Amino acid sequence: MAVGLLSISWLLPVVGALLLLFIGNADGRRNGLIRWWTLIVSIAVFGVTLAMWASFNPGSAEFQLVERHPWIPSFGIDYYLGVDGISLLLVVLTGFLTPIAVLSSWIGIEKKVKEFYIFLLLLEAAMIGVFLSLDLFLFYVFWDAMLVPMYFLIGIWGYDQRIYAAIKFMLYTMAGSVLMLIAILGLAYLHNAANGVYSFDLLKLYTLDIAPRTQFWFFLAFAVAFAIKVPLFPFHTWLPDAHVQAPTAGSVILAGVLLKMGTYGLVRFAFPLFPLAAAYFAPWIAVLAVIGIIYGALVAMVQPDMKKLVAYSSVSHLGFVVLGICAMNVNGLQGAVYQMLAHGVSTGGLFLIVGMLSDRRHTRLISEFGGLKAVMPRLTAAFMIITLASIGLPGLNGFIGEFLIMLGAFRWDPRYVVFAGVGVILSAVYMLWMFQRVYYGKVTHGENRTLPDLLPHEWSSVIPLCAIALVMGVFPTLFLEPMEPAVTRVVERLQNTQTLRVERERVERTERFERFER
Amino acid sequence: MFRLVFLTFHGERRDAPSHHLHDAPPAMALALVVLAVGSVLAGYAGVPGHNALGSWLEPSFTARSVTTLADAQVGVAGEAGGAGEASEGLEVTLMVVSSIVALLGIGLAFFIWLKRREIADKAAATFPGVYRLLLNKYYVDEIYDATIVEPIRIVSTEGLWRGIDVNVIDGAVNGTASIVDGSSSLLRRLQSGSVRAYAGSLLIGVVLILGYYLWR
Repeated sequence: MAVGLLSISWLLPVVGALLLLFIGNADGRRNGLIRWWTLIVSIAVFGVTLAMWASFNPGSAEFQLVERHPWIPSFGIDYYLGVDGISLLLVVLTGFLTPIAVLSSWIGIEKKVKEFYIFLLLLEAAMIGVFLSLDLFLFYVFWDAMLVPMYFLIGIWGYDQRIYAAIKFMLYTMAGSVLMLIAILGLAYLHNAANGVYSFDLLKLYTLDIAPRTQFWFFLAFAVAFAIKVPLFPFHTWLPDAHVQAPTAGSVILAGVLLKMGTYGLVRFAFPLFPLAAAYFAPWIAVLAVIGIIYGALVAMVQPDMKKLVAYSSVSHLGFVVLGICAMNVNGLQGAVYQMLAHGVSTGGLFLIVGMLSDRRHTRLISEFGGLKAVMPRLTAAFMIITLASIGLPGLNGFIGEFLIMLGAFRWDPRYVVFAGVGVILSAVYMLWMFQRVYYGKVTHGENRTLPDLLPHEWSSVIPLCAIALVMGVFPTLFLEPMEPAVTRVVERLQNTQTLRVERERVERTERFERFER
Repeated sequence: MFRLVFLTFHGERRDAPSHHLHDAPPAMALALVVLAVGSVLAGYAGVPGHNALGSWLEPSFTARSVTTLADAQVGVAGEAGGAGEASEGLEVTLMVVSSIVALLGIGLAFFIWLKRREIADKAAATFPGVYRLLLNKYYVDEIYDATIVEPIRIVSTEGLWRGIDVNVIDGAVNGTASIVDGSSSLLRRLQSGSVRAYAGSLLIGVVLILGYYLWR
């Protein structure tokens, strides 16, 4: 049995984690070795994801590099992996952010170093698995498997309220995903009713003709699970706690990748599986998204804690992504996927640098800082770049996604864009206001005067982030091109079914009318 | 503008003598020279009769507004004459008038700030309200601050964050947890581990069910 590139991409971190188990480190003597080993493994995984990209045919909308083996044949469950343009880029994002997360905990994590890195690698494996699965059962396994390492990362290495945050994160997500599990089982049942065999194969389930009423409930079950993960207003309150209490690496991964699993789920499962229900719910979801954009921004604006500010800004930014998905046209969806990547880079970067400040001062309160520009000019410059990227300055990554989303949403219904536009302004308000209070002015706290500037391992995590933010802002085609066929296919699928439905209703109406005439 | 010029470059030095003032370095000076030459000469590109820019953007934009206005006036007056001439005449008049107004302004500034500085101070003292209003830029910043910035900040902090987010939404989330917790600790008392209590409740249950079916 040949092992393909996709299997390697999630098995490599698992193997890396298993090998870490064999390194004795009771007295913390081999911390350095463990750190280097994890860094090398995660960079190797990034290399595998890049190799995936290299062998990917950007012209095709089909799933590629497919691997399929029967797993539980009696229920039609397969080990079934494949990538298209959407999942490819998210897998590469995961591969890119994990080494940065490893570097971010280089000196910040000092207790139980081995366990920490084992969980981090297992988390990476589960995240990659989520993006690659084409079998709903397999998808669900990865989806829940990812909760476990995250739970321990927050619960063991988090800040003072870590247990509360970890349990809240776990229970909240579980509550949503159980609903999704019921809907997944329901889909397999429907497939059996229609074709005589059970199947969890996503592509087969796409072709099912599901009654509108069933679609309504199944869509709701999937959408709630994903809405919690996104998080969509008002399902967001686990996020500030989890983000703030998690160690820096956990926050980077949470904001950078985990939230995207929610929006990815909407794009891959909820919308295309139940197109009629999607059309029915889209305006309402978009309303929640727009509320989230403005609400998240306003609440972010008044946070005294930097990490909480960035956490709420994620609520606002992810609102844009959901709005783009709800527009259900090529611009909106492309913008949504682009914004997922951009948000992963820029918010990952924000958490990274806030984590550096927090490691130095052991506080995250904005009022404890001020005037850092004079003390650490290089860190300030890096933060400025990431801040501007997050605001969506043209030429940096945030702009492209926001622009495409607004373009798509405008074609759908301009009213949403009017309100979403307010969010763009507010994002500049809260980010620049924080920047001003932290970095400009006079140094108000004496202990800030001696803080060291960027350290070597920090350089190596900040430079790639700033570079990719710039590349994504200047050469968007590099990323838009591979995702375009896949995005177009999703949109076509959504629109075809919807027009088919309208057509069929029209035919039925005329038939009824003709019967009545006779 | 000329108050600025006179106060900065003319009259006596008011800064501390220790300050070392020097002329602009070549890089800055060159830029200033280019700008100065441009600002003296650029206006002549549009002198009436030899308008080099009038048709620059045609056909996207045409210089109609002035002509139409002039045409309308000519029409009302009922006078004969070319519209173009009338518009040129209007332009020349405007040029002369605005130059005179500008020169008067410069003269006034020269008089007040170089010859009779006390006039300015006296004016400020005579109309303190007007002076303060102008000094504070008509209080536009303060109005914005009071009507937009502060309300948004307060509503966001007290209403959205502490009120809705922490109390209502997260209150509902934590409330769900407390309800589960509370009802579980109530139900827990049923599981006392006392075999007699279990047997007693079993008996009561049997009696109730049998009673129901017999009675019916």
